[in-house]
Amino acid sequence: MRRQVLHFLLVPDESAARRVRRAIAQSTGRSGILVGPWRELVRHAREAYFRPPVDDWNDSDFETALASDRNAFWSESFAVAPDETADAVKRALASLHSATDPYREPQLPGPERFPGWPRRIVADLLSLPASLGERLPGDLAVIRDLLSADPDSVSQPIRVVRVDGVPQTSRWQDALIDKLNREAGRDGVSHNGELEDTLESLLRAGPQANPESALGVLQAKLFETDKSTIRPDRSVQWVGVRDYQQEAEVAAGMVQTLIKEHPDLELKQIGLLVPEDFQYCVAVEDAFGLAGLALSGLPGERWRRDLGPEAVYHFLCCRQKPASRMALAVCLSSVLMPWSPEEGAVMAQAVMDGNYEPRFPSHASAGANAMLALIRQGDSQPATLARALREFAALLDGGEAFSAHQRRAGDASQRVLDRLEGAREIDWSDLRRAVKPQLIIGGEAPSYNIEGVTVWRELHEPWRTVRHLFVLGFSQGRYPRRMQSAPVFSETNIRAVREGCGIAIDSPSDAQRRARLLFRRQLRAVSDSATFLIPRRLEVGDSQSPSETLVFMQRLVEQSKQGLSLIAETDLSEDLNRIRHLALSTDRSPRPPRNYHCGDLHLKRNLLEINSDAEGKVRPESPTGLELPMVSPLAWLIRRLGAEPLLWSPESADPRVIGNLAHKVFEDLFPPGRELPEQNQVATRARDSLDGAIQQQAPFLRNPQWQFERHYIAEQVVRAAQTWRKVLEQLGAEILGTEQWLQGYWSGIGIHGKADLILGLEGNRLLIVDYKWTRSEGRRNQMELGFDSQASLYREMAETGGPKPPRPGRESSDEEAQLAKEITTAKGIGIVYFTMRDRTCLSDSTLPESPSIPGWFALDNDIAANALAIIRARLEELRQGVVRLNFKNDRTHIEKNAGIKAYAMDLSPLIDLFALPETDADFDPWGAIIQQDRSRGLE
Amino acid sequence: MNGLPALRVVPAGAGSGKTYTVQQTLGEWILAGKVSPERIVAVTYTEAAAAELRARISAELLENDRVEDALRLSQAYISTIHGFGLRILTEFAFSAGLSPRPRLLSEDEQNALIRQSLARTDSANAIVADLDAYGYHYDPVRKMKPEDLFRERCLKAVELWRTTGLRSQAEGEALTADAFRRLADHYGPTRDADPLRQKLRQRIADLLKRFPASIHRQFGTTRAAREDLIRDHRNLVTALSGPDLETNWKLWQALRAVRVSNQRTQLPDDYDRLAGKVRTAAEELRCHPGPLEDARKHLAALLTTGQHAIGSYQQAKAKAGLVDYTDMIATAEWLLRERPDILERLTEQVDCLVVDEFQDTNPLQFSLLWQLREAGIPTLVVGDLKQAIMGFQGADPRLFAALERNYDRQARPLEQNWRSQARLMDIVNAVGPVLFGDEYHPLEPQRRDSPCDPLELVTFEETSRSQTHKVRAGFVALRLKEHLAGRTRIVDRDTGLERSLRGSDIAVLCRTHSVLAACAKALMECGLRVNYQAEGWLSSRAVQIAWNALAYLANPADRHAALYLGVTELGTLSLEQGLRQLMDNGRVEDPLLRKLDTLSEGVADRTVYALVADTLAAVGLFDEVARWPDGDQARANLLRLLGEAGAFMDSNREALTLSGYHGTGIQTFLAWLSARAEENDEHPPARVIDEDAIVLTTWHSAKGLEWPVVAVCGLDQAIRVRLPDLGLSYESFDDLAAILNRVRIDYWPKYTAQEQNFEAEYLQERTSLVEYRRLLYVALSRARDKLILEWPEYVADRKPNRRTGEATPNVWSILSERCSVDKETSEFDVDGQRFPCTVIEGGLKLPDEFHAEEDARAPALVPIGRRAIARRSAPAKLTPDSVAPSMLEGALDSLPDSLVLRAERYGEGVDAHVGLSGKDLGTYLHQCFEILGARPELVAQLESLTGVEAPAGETERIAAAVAGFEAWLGNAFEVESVQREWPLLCIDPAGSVVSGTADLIVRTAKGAWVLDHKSDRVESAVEAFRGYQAQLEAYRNALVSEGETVLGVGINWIRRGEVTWSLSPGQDG
Ligand code: SF4
Repeated sequence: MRRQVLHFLLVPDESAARRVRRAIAQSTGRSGILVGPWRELVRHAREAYFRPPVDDWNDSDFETALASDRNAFWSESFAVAPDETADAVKRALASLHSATDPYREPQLPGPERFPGWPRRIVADLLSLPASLGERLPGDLAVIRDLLSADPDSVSQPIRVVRVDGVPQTSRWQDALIDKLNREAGRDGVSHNGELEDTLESLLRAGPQANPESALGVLQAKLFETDKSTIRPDRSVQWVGVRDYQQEAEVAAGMVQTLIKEHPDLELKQIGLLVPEDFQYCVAVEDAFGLAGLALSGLPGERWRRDLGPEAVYHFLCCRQKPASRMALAVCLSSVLMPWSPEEGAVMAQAVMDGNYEPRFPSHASAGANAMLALIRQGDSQPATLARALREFAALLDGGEAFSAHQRRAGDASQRVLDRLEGAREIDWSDLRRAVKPQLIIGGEAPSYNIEGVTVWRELHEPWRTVRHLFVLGFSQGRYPRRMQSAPVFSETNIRAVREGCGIAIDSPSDAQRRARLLFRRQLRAVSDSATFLIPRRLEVGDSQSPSETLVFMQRLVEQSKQGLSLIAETDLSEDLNRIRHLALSTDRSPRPPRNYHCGDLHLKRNLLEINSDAEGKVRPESPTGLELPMVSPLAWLIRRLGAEPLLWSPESADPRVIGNLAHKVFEDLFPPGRELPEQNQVATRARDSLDGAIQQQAPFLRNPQWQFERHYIAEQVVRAAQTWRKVLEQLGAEILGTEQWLQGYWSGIGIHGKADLILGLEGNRLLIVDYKWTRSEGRRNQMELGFDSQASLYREMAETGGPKPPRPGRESSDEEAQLAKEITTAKGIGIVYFTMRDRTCLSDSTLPESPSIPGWFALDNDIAANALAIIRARLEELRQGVVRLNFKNDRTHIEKNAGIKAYAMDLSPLIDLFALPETDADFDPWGAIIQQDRSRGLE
Repeated sequence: MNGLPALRVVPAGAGSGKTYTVQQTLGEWILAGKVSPERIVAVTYTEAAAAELRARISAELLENDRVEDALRLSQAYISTIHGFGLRILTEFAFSAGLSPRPRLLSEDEQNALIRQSLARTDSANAIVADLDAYGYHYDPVRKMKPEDLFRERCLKAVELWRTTGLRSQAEGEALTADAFRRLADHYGPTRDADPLRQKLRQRIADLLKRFPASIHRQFGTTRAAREDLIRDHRNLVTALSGPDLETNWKLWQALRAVRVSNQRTQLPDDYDRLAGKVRTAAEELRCHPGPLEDARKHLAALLTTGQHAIGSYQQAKAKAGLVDYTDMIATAEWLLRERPDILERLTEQVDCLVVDEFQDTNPLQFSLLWQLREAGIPTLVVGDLKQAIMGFQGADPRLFAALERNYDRQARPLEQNWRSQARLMDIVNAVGPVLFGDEYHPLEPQRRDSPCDPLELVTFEETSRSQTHKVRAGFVALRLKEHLAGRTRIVDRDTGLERSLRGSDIAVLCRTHSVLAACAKALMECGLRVNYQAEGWLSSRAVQIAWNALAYLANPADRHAALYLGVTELGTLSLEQGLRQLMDNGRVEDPLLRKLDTLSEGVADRTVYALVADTLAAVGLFDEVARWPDGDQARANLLRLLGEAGAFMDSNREALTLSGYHGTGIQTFLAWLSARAEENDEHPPARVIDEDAIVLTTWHSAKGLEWPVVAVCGLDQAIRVRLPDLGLSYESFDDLAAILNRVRIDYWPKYTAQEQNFEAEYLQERTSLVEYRRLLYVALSRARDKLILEWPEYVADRKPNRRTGEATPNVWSILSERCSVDKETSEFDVDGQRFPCTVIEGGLKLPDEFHAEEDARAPALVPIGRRAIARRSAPAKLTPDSVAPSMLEGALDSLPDSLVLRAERYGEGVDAHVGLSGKDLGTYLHQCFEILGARPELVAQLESLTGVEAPAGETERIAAAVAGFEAWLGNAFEVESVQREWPLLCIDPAGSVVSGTADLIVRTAKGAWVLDHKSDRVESAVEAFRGYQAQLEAYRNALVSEGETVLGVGINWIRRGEVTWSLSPGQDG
């Protein structure tokens, strides 16, 4: 049987292959011809010679080999950075070998001819394959295998047709090509050089544009030494735009103009050269989609998150105690969890709101319960972690849709288990590194179609010629792409190796030169015009410089008028008319923004009834809650409707958190019905109690990172406790209740709240105490201005109600009963704020005991009158369904008049958005209400 | 070796053509063959400057047709000093035993690691427990808690140690001891603590005995008096009743100022007498040893904590292969210093070293660069001491000063000025000596005069309390408005021609951002367009809408997000409607939300970038904002959001984890984003160039820039001293190569007793005052045609500090010492030299015409870009550029229904049981038929060739099936040759390239047959055949178009052991 020769046309990449295939299909012989890049050639050769896949070494073999030579040039680096070192050495090994003669062991000349560091690199690299069992990296191994293949074993000889230099090939590749051609040669040539000619004319095409035009000159002379200078004409332009998105939009507009101006022009004759950057793809797709312009060849890669390994990663974060709440929340809301995403979201938000031990919103399966338990526990031993991890992987359940992710989760946990095996302690960061979540590339292959605008990519050959080209992203580091310097073979080392032992390793500057030639080939595939779009800014707004190639273009194309830049800026009115094809908007009138001023809201219903409990009973308000309608009724309503923003944030030692801790310490230290702790024990007991509170409420503070905060807070709390104990002693007070729920009525609504401390003083007097984790100035100011409502509302509760009755089915304890009695028989109820930061007591009462108490400050005025008046009025309005909106300058106004920081207005951005226009600086919207309230009181 | 000067120092004043000189010099050296372009090392201050220098040298070379050289320039080391350091680290990584691919630590990560390192040492505990006493209080402006502030100072100590280039513990201890000694010297003699305290205590007791209760009720006649008396009483009680006097210096300080009678309030005589005695006793605080001891403890804590933390910080970085910016310099410096072999290899690669902006180097950077010059690399150093204003970043201009001094013979100062018009330059030359004395050398103006008068002063004799900056800025704004409206003409920089003034020709320069913000506001209110990056990016409308859309996407149960979206720009609801819906249905309904609901598919594993992009597209936000009046800004804001999403995706996961951000979803992104916006909430610039907008910028950022008209504002600012401060100084500058060995640590504590703070010395020694002079020089030398100065004369009336009796230094008084305005003659007097100038008198209140009617933000240009795109819909159907026949499905329309089909069995069919299924199995069977069909003898190697392990007997069964098929083939056709896996190419009628591989082409004398193997399990071969017709037709066409005769096409149903075939039209069997 006569063997037919297969012709393989070697091209640099798939794009070139696409172009060549079409040319072949339209002309010459059409069967028995393959077109493809090097990778394809190797595959076909392997099939043709029936060679099995070559055993490549895996990374761990390689790392073992690297570790075995302790005196190699990489040894020290390998010890500190194994992955990076292995990677660099591997690449160096490949590039060194590719540059040698594949049939002969390379010989090093004597040290006198080839001394120093470069010699050491080469020697170490050459000896490396020995420790790898003579194996070579990837491609080289395959080539070596093929070179040794028996010529007679070939089923289908392959003749390689190629053009010198495009693509650039290494010595090894050349050797393989030679062998293939030699062995195919025996079967005769069938195409008479026709194929060579076709390939040559496509891959090494000369300038396409009119040589007299500026574009023609660029095509012919860019990067060449000899020059001809030409004025810019209609064939080229450089346009400066703000950013990549504007590039895409401007280009789309220009394409539309072009088409309009030249009805005979087909879209496919217009080209876009697009950087290898997914931002560009998104922007181009978007802009051209708007314009209804079909695209051909736009990469459609989309990255996806690596949910499986991510889940494992965060699971590890959860098991390392103290776990941060965001780790918990992320874990709980992973779609791989054995519960619904909605349930996950609810639990995650609960964690974010401070609950470190969330429960299921509804009934849960056994698996779900087990998983929840796993996430909450922690480890200090490798063994328990390994067990947990296995269980975790088994419990994951993402359903059909996420089964691939689940599989990757399994693999990732296996990697971690491997590292845990035999480990004596847990190295958390090392384990996290082993998980290696990465972005997954997915998405569809680009649509190459006949009609659409031709899209070329920065690092690819043009796949069909165009008449007009738009080059996007003509900025620094692109066209040509900047090359990274290689750590082993720097330019200097490469030069030394070339001179010392004649091995010509491919250098970064060689690569740079090829990249330049590629860019010129791209330019040469254009016949009529090229527009270079230069983005002046990056996405985030920083400026960037134009491509370094611009100077080379400037040399050939020079502006006539002095001072006129080659680049026309879309931002300059005088430049606008020299930009060709630029689409201008006909509609110039801006649309005025939406007007948000809507006046107070009239919702025509009793708003206090919103969100009543199951029996339709209006929910009681708390003293802090009632500050909301005072400052911003809209804030109150938003909260009532459960429509506060759901934000995530990492933990921080904010005053609220610390205040809660301090409260807990005080609760522990001063329980009802007991003696005060000894003064010299206060410190120790406060610290112990604080540790417990941290463990429960703010575990993150145990993390070493928060050491300063922990120390500082502890010290502050201890001092406050010491002072407070002294105050209690001096008052001779009896502690009647701590954290005591009270309830009562005020202004027609139910109120309730937890009083921090209730003290009984001699003579049946009561003191209700509120601890504040602040300094006293602000609170005192607020009290002096009559704007402190909180403590007074507690007093109101005591007077109109009393301790909250125990839940049905539980008897009140003796203490509770006692307290209830004390409250009803009290001869006067005073209130005190203890501000912990400066250890001051602010009270509405002067007591006989108080003058000797440092920092006791009694106010003489009615500390709550104004606040209560306003709240009363607001509640009445809410009853009527009226929600008063804030004024734009309410923050300053409220702070000035009431001594209150209007944090309530930060509850939602909607409050400021819908605020009424600024009032006069002197206008006091509250004045009238207070006035009215006062006069009513006088009646 | 190459005939270059070993060292050349080029002092270059403002506008003297510094970059031009560097470009010129390097260009000449390359042209003359003295240096190779790729062997240049040039260090610039920013990456942008590096790019510009490279481009300029390239242009210079190309001008001379040196294309090769220009190309080689791309390998030159032209970068920032950090880039240079990093290049040394990577290039010599293996020699130095470092990671060959170090990763730059992100700021978050650095913070987290240092936090952890600080936690490993206990040396700060005593301070931390008592931060208030050590002067750490909540900073409301920067929103920093005392712990944060202390941590920040520890970080400073860490940085300080690292810049000393210290290698041994002993060295560190010596430096610390030396710092302690100088601290004590500064403080002066102390007395015994106990007697001082007892005396004070006694006197307090006396006072309280006579006045046990606070007297504020009776005598607090003014608010101030009342507050003082309350406070005093509390302090007195505290001092007497506890141990506070032993350690609480603030209490002492307060007791020094216990209130006594004054003009406005009269206190009882007894009170005055006893309180006076308290005051005298408390005065002794100044020689109390306690404050000194505390300062010492404070310093000790900072230095030891810093030193300890460095150790664990370095370890943590090394373990993770990380470097920070300091490492890039410090490690490179250390490498060159300790490893002569590396220094030698480096110098072999370098022909010359150029350092721009040398005055901004710090000691460590200096030491790195100086080693190259010591190793004999010809060095060109350019800089201007007068423009050294980067002290806050650790730059130490004393180095450049020493260089100028020690190498004055190598100095080639630039003596010309190319920037300012001659009349303006004369003024700058006159002011120069006011700022710098003899050290100022006048520059010779090169530009001819401009039609524009060079100097204007806007003077203010008085000031009011409120809105001072705004009022002053308002007067400047009015003046600028006049210039823009009038016929003020300037000389264009690029064309050299006269033209009228535009907004972007003007810059308003302020010292601080807060003054800048006030100026921006004033300019806008006056109807001028400004180019100013104001704060408020995150809260801008467009970003908020996007934010809420993302929040909704992440959690559709987020009612707030739903409400926000429904009632804002893109929604259809009013606020009332939105709230009602929530009340009635518990949720918000709006078409916008439905659009987002359609996106929710795939939210789980899409990246944040994709989600942001898709969300913006789904709700059409870019389209919406394009039509807003400030649409440019809104789209820039949205783009930054996209950019941040990209940055979030690129952030290192471990870094995020360390700083408490877990996860890669939307919620984590939003959390991360708000922290990010706290760092930088500036709006990104809306456009690249804004011809009509006046530029507003700080003096610092104005460095290196120029404008035709420059207004310098905010001169009234006080020069404040922020104590305590920690810094480095040098014993001497004689031996620059050993500069790191001459280092010492300075500590300037903040004592409660103010007079002990040595502020004046601090100002001098820490060069703050000098630095302000330089800042002024930078600001004043930016103008090309005209300089407008705010002249706050009222500053002269400011009262001196109550306690120290000295006036607080301020920026204006630096000038006013020797400059004044003569309003009579309209002249500016500088040390007796008089220059004509325009004087505009400002006032306390802005004139009515200040508020402009017109909207300053209205864009002046025709909209381009998005708004100019004509909206069209895309074509419905596109023709593929190429098709693979195997992808063609179904019967072709053109084929006759009545195909003549033949079928024949050749065997049993195989069902390979090799553990594969579906496509994998198909591929495997294909391979087997291909390999064994061509080479039956390869059956033994089948496993290795296919990579599939087959159970015993299976391979043989397959081989038998192949043999059966091949035998049938031989019988059925008069085979001349068989081509297997034969590629075919053709163009189909639609124009698509058809490219495929036929499994078998069987050639006979009459023509060819095309056969394909199929591994489907089929019920009816006939029906199945129809499904592959299109593919077979494509093969047939390809061969026919090449001129071959195709007799027919067929399929080998591998699993049935049967071949089905049809004849080509016109053929018969
Ligand atoms: S300038 Fe543009 S639109 Fe005009 S003829 Fe040339 S290619 Fe066509």
